[in-house]
Amino acid sequence: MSEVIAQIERVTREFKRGGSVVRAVDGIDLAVQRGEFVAIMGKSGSGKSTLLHLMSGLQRPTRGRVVLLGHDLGSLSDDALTLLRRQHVGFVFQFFNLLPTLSALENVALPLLLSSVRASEAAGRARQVLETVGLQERADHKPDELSGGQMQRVAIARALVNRPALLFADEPTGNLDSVSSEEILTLLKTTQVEQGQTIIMVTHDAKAAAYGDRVITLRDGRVHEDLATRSVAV
Amino acid sequence: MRPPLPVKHGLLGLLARRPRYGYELKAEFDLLSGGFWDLNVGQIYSTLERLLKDGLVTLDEGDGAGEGRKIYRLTPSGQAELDLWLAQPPLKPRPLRDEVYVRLGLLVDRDVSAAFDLIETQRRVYHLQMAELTRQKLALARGQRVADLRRELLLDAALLHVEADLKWLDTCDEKLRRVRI
Ligand SMILES: Nc1ncnc2c1ncn2[C@@H]1O[C@H](COP(=O)(O)OP(=O)(O)OP(=O)(O)O)[C@@H](O)[C@H]1O
Ligand SMILES: [Mg+2]
Repeated sequence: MSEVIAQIERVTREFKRGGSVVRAVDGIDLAVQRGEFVAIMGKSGSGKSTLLHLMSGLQRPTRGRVVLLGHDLGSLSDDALTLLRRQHVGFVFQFFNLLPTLSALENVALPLLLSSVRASEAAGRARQVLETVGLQERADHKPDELSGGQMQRVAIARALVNRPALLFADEPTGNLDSVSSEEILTLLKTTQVEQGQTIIMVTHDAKAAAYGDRVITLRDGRVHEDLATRSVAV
Repeated sequence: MRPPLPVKHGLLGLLARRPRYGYELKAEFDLLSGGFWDLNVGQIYSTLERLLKDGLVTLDEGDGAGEGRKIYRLTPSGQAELDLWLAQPPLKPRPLRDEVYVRLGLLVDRDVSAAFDLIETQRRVYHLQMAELTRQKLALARGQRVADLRRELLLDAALLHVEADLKWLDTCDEKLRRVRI
């Protein structure tokens, strides 16, 4: 059974710089099914991050429609959009974006506290998710006491702690060596396979994209190629 | 000419661990090479034939009948040959002998749009192949088994080679676009 979980229609995003206009995303149509793992590739400046920001509601399009979990984002106020994101969207970035003064556990629990979950329950759930990423032993470590791969696993735990319907990742392995990258990608793949997690990941690394069921290549803000890589028998 | 596959030394290495029946060697060799080389039984037996003639292995008659029931055993000079081979100096980089290089090379000044088409279709093939290799890697048990480790290392090598081919296509695409009028 397929169900469209995120959809964008004729979406364009322009940035004004001085007198000129940069069209970062140029009239893209795209639908993502629940449970899909989509990899987005393309050269630097081709619009990958902008597309991710538009699909996740972090940025609003200049033109076009974005529908997330049945909500037309254009009809939502900024507050309503923020709430929708907090509840249903997880984000993983290339540079982890962990708060340096908080422990791994506190970093993971943060989204729950922002959603007004009680502190004791938040800590319990954060501990659980840390365990699924294999870091229960590092719960009390600060980010600067962790390796890059471990920091990224904390960031993934933080993104997953809300059980988001959609997980977005922008170059999650861009800053890691090849073996740590593989661990991160295997972890993402496991959450897809075992929990049906929908994942949309930007990467410039074809080895990382090969974990997706679908590889989309952007060129100059447009979809140049949309390739299904799942084996024929599903 | 393709560089010869190290079938001879692969077989010597397998026999160094313990003597084996001929039919076992085919299966063991496939495991060792991760199934990437499509060797048939005939190639295994013809190589064993040569090893026998050179005195690197000996043949014991087994209990049953037929070729498959004979036990191959490494001789001391077979062991010496294997040790020498394992301690060889580093290998030369392998030659570029992919047909794609030649086809693309011929197309650049003949039909540049056909060259772009070739790049596109070839790129798809490589992405699909990398996805398949990755599936195989994910399907491996994360255990202590040395066979799985060997297989994983081979899959890594295969993935990195396809990645290099893919990057080369991107470079071609970029450079062809630049010289285009
Ligand atoms: N906030 C902004 N202001 C102005 N221009 C922007 C802004 N964000 C993106 N751009 C421009 O839009 C284009 C696409 O940028 P984007 O960050 O989406 O590319 P990308 O594919 O993610 O590149 P990279 O691989 O380098 O991360 C670029 O030309 C970029 O300069
Ligand atoms: Mg980017």
